[in-house]
Amino acid sequence: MAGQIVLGETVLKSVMAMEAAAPTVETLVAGHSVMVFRIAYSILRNHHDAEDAAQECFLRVWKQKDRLHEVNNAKTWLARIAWTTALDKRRARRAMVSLSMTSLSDEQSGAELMQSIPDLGAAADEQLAGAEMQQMLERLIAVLPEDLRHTLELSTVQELNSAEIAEVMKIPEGSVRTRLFRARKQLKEKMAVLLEGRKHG
Amino acid sequence: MADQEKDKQMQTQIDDMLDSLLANYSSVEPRPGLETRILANLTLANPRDAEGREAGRGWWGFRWLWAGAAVAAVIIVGAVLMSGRRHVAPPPSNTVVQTVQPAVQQPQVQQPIIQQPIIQQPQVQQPPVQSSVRGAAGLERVIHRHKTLAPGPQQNATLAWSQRPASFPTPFPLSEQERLMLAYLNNTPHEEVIAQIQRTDQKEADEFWDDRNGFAGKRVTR
Repeated sequence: MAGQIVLGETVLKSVMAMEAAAPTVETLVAGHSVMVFRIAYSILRNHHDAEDAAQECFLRVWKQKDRLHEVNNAKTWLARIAWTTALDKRRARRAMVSLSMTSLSDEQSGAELMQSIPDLGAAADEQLAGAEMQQMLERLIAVLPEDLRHTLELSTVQELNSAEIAEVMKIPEGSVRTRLFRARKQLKEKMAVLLEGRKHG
Repeated sequence: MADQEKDKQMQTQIDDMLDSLLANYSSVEPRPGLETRILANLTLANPRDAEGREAGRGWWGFRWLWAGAAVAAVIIVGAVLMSGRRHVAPPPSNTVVQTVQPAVQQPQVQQPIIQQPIIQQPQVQQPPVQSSVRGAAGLERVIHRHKTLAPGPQQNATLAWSQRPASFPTPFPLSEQERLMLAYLNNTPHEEVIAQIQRTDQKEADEFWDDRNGFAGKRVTR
């Protein structure tokens, strides 16, 4: 009797292991669609585009469904597909619409941003959480160097830690941390300049 | 000191602000039903794939059809060429020409030159078995003979080479007249022969001048 239970547990474990080893497209959609959407959103900054990118990402996965058993880490594999899909989409969008934001120099962007930053008065916390501050951050991130920007964008996705970001970007984990540090430093410096200018001006 | 504290406060404030902004940067929730929409889109894409595969199969079918037609065309052309060769005339090989030619040409050309091919005939008729086998072929054999009567320039060259004697001029055996003449010369004394020649010459000369005088006497009398 005990032997049968052990055998049953073993069979169950092996079945679960097989399922874990060879995910289907449906299980990937069920388990990681939100992560895929957030990765796409971190890059595209638009709900509609992010959802399109998520659809396209899973279509790419669907085309590879016969090779899913070869995938070691489904989460990072899927995250990489989502990331490249979103980057492709952003490139295509930029090709269609030339964004003035990307061509802004630091001085120009500083002058524009000065007007968009809300007054840090009594209700500063509320305003910081406001849409204007979020737009300011987006603009500041947009003018970061590409390698720093990509790392920072992926780091904002809650589902990914630094090791997984490293696997998605195919770089060492130490490089991810260094890039994140440098990106944050540059952002803080620019924000400090902007806030100082706002106070004095 | 106060400035440093202010700076520190400012830095801390900026740090906090950045953290909060970055935390909200991608913490967005998709519209409800994202999974359903994705799965629906995939099921929509699946029949499209299937259609594409069907179309591919159709294309493959057409390709096989074209390939089959091409192979059939090649086979037909090959068969036509083969049958054409059989009916018209195969390029006569050296052996065929050699086996047939002496039988036809001997009475026309080479008989007057005495039976000199006595030496060559065994060389020419190399495959006697072949000729005997072909003898049973009947009509075909007749056609071959007609064809070989007019050999091309290359064939002529090969025939000439094969029939060419080792020494030149060819030592033919003497004819009956020549043998008689030789016997006469051997048995008759030299002076008599000379006298005979002179007599003959004189006689011929007289006849010649008689003829001349008869037709153009005026000119001779002058």
